[in-house]
Amino acid sequence: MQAHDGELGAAVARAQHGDEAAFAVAYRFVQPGLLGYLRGLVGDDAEDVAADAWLEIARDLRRFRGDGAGFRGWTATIARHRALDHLRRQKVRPRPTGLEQDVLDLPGPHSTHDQALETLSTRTALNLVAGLPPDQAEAVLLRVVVGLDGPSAARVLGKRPGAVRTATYRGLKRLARQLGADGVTDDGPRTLGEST
Amino acid sequence: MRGAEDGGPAERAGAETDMGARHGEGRGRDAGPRPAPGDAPGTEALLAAALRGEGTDVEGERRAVAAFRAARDAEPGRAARTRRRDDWRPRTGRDPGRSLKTALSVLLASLTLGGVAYAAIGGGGSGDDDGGGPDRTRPPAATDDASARPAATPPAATRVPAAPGHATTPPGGTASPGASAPPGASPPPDRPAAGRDPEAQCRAYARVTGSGKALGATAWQRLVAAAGGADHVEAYCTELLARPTGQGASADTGNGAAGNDAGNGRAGDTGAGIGADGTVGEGGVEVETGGSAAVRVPDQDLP
Repeated sequence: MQAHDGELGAAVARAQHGDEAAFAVAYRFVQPGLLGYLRGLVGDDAEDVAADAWLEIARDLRRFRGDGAGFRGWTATIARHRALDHLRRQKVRPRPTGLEQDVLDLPGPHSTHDQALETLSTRTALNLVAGLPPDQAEAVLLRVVVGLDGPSAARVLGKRPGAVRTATYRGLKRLARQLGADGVTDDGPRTLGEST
Repeated sequence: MRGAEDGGPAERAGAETDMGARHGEGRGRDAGPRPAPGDAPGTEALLAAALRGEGTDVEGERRAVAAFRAARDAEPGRAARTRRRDDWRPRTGRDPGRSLKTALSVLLASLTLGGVAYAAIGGGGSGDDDGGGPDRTRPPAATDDASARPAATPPAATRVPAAPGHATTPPGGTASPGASAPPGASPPPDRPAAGRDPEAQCRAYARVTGSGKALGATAWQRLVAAAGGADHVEAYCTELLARPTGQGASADTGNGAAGNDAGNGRAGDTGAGIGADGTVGEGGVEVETGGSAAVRVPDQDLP
């Protein structure tokens, strides 16, 4: 997805000059990652929150300065603020909702690496990420799903780049272990069970 | 990642490598979907494939574009102000400027503090001038001529701003009489020599007579007391200054002669003058050695 940052940047620049079609192109580039990130934050309300975010993105587009990668970070920041507003309205913590009770829907202890690769559903992946500590979960989402680099993710989260880098590393390592990708298949569910 | 606007995954990988080299740690390492160290390569791709919503919904896109159109048509000509949170341009260009600004600020602050400190020290030095009188009582306490001269010189140097007249009085001129008057210096080591302090004050007296405050200082009050009243200061000083001058002249001669008779003293003076010249020939050297020999030989002959 980051391979298209050049095209995305050009589309954003055209859209800033009023090109409607270019804005649609930018939407198609950004929306999948944004929606995946929001699913991690607000669960099934992700599409509604994304719609709110896009209203703000469309309204403030001319304020934006930056390239394609910067546009990802900018839109992720807006989406995050909308998600936090949404969660505040729901009076719940900024934690994936409706996911904890689905923790049982995980790759079982017997699933092999290949099985996990082939059968990892969106729900399962969300559950895995939701099992991480919140800072790790969000850092992983911003990197893997939105496609942000370390400094940009840190800016979105309002944290120091070093802290975000560490959180990303630990979260991915843990997820890899749970997916059995490192060959220690049996450790996965047990670790997750401890953490949840 | 930000350097990868040219497209192409291959180009992008190259750009990332460059970026890692340019930005140092962190940036290159976290840029892009490459697996983190210690991670299985498939983890990120697996998660991305599962979590990224594929096939964007047409309805959402339509609404977003409608919002875009509404915003564009509502304020067509207005240039929206870019807030700080809207500026996502790569920061690499701004960081050096910021660090340069920081360095300049630090430099300016250090210069300011240094200037304040310098001014404070300078002010303290000149502030001592008024209270410098008691300091001047210390050097004469020394009984040795060699130690009395260096000790007497610094106070004269710090007194220069307030009493320029002291700059014209050579340290030797003021120190020699005191040092050459052992009765005044050696018997009471903690008391100043009777003649020196008032004499130095007398030299400056004429210059500061008009500037009211200076005469209120302790040193002047002491001078006035020594003279026996403000009206007697001039007469007192005239007498005082006339006396030590003669003493100083005889003291210099005595020093040059190192306690010998007048003939040896003259020889010593000549030798010193030629020696200081530096352009003397053999004769000059002979004169000098002769002079020094004349100083010593009688000592050896006498016993």
